[in-house]
Amino acid sequence: MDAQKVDMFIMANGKFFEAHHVPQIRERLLLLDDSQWGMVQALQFKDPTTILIVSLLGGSLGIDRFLIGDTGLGVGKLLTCGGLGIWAIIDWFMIMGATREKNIALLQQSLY
Amino acid sequence: MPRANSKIYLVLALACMGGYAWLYLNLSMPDAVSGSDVEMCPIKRLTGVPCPSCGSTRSVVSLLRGNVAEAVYWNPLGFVMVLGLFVSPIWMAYDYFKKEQTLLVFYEKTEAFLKKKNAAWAFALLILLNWIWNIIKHL
Repeated sequence: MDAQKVDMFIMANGKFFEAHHVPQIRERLLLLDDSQWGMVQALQFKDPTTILIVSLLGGSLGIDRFLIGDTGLGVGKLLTCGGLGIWAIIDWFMIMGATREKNIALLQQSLY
Repeated sequence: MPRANSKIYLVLALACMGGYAWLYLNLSMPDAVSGSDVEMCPIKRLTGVPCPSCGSTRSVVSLLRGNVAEAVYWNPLGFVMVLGLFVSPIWMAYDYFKKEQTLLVFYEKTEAFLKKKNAAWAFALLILLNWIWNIIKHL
């Protein structure tokens, strides 16, 4: 695919991924066929900052985990008052990374 | 090859250890950990309103002492917790020694089931009803 388009994608969506994944994503997208551009553009990524806000407010109900698609962990948090409040606090620090991992998984899923 | 969700073994092991430690505290010195000074639930601490799973410690303790009716009154979720606390260590040990991933497969199946619309609504409704009951009970 056109390098300009790829760089545009990286600029618009870079914040959704871990920094160390970005070069890989760029290389993978460069190899991509132009016909898949529309699909890549249409992917909906979760914003780590939004999820962090949700985690701060509704973390002990597991809402953050439900939102990023970790339903099992969400149920676990919901049924234990956010792991007696401890897991909820740990997740304030973990949730942004977890969101970015989910985003890259989504991208990989749609590319392969 | 490690699968994407294989960290749930770690999460579950930590949760079980935490759960048993908390249960031990509650059983060995019930006076020290009851009352509002050691309110563990952050929602109840902040707002004064109980969360959907408030009362489940009391429920588990009642259940272990044989008071089933009392356990249901405190929080029906206590039954789920007792089941989880008893079954998951055994299941994890089984997977570990047999070098299998049966628990992980079960977890992924449950997760997929809960993501279905009807199941999700039913689950949410049950939790919501339980929450309303908790608030009415003033746990």
